[in-house]
Amino acid sequence: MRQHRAWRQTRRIGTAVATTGMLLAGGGIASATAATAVPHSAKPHSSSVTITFWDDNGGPRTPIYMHLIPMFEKENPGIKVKYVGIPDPSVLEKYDTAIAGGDPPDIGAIPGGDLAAIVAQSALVPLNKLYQSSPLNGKLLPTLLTATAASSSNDKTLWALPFSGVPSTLWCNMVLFRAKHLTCPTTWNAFFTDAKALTNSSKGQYGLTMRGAGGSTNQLTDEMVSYAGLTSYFTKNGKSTFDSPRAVDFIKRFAAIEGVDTPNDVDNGYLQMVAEFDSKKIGMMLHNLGSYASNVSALGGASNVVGLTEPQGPYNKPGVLNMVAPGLDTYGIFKASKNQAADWKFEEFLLSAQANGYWNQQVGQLPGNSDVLKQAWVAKQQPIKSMLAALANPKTVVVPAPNYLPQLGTIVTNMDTLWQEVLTKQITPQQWCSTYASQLTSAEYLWTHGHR
Amino acid sequence: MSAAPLGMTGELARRWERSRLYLWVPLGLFMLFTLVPFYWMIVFAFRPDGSTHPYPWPVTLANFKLVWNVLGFGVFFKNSVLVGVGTLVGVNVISALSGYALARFSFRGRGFLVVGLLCTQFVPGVMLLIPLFIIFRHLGLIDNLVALVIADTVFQLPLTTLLMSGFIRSVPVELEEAAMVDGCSRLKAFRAVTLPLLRPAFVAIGSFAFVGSWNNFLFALIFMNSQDHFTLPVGLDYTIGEFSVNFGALAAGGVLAAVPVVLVFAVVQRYLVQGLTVGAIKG
Repeated sequence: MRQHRAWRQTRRIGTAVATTGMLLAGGGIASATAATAVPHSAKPHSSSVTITFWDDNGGPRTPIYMHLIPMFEKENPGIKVKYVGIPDPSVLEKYDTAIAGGDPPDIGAIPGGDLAAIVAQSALVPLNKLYQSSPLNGKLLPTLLTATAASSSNDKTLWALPFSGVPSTLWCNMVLFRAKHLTCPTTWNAFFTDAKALTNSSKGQYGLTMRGAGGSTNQLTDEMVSYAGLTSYFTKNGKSTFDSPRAVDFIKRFAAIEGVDTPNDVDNGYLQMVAEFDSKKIGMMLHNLGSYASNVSALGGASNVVGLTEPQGPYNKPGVLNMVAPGLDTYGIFKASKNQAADWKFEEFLLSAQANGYWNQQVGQLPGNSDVLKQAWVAKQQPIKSMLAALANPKTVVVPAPNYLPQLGTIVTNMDTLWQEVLTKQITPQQWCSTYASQLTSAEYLWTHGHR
Repeated sequence: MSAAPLGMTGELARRWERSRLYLWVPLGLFMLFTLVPFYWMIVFAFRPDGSTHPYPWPVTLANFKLVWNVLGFGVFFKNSVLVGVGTLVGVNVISALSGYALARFSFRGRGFLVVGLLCTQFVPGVMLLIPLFIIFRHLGLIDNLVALVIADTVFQLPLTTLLMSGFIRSVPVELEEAAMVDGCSRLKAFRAVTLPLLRPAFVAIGSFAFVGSWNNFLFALIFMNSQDHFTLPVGLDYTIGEFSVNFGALAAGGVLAAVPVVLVFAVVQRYLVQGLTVGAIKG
């Protein structure tokens, strides 16, 4: 009898042990759900405020902030900044989870391409009023400000402020250009002629490296807008302009040089494209200003690299340049922050001529603060000078990208795959342009009719 | 059945069989595919920046100094070890208890629990990120390495519990019963008789737990909010910038991340094979 009772008791214990194990094993949801009642630990208040700042490109840019943050803390003894570097490939994932989980940072660097997704979660504070009443007012480059507003909504709300721009850039390997007595082309016709002239496939040398895989559509769009002289993604009726005969003409000409004046680039993502260009056997690469430092390092010095805006299109009047608004890096303040005054103080500091100049000098990008343009280093960096001249030219037409469209990311990813089909001749350039235009038109229709 | 290729007869066929080329050729090719990426990693890790040699000469430790001192791999390494060891202990203890219950007791809902455990394997970790984040936030565990130990342990337990129950089932229950007849309680019988026989199982499960936690990137990225609390996989991602990749640093970081795992497997591989096969056949 005693044995029987002991056995039953043991069975009960066993069942309890097993159930506990299962609960823990099955994802821990049950035990953890009960724990949600535990209040979030409140930090003690003190005279010194600590704000958390997330850098969207932790690693390469960490040393820059390690230089700037102590400067800020010295100027503002009551504010401490906790720096967290987020690896670039995982930034949006990290922001999304933190916002959904209710624990975002106080202030963060946000890539322009991710801004719409974060704004859509109502996570940021509008900065228009703070900017207007700040000494920064009027100092930030208007092109970048307009592009920032267009990145998240098509009204004029500034959910973040731009600290750097990366316009699309034509990079030329001047060692190869000089050998052929050529200069980096400023028109698309010269571009195609030079690509042919620089190609010597028997020696493994090509005029251009092309992006065939991931990211190709964004790059192609910049080129198509510039070549076709497009002034907007959409007509007044909301129809995309990307299936116009001029746009199709560009796609036809560009696709035709794949495998002829380029190596086999169908599978090229960013890394493969840059690796090809850095091999010193490629004449030109279309990317953006962000690759300046690595190009200079790989090609043996600044004198061997020239970076220009996308060339002038054959349909444009002389001197007129059409360019898609530069890619952006921005700073945003999060609604959940309890120290928004300190956050703004830090943002103002980061956007000041001193800090913004230092930041952009280190990475070789277009500064957000126009006062930086007077600094000596700007004049010494040829690609930045070239971009600034183009943006300051009244004849330049800057075309804002509709980053506010929630479907844009999906559309360009789909089009990347279809671009590979164009390069492998499975579909025609006309089909590619028609598909792209039709998807953009549908997305714009949904947006303007309130389906966000 | 002869291993000689079709049409090969006589002395030639015997030589072919003696040479065991039919084993060495495919194994050699497999080794090549496996080891080339490692060779690439070693070359880039030890080669100076700008060198294009296919071998690491002259050897430099600059990439290791960069990742250890500048990118903070020293801290990431320490965190990975703490989380890995914590997970190893947690997984072994809990899966021994739950595995024992599954192996030795018959209770209502047992079959359902086993199926439930198997089903949890179909749920990708990424789907549970936000609920887990909220739970850890309410527990005050965001930016605390304990959160990683809990998350890694919990995600590995379904599989390790089933494995452990298989191991325990392979130990004859009569051994425990004999100990209990001699006066041991069930717990003491388990501790004194079964536990020592489960050493290969603990090694096998512990290795899985440690390596799984060592390689987990997502939890460390999402649940940690300080440079001081990130682990090695997050550190590796630091070498990939928006517009540039530091291949030397990436490779050096890869070597640092791979060496402990290789060492762990080199030390425990004897137990590992034993552990993986011990529960495979049940008499």
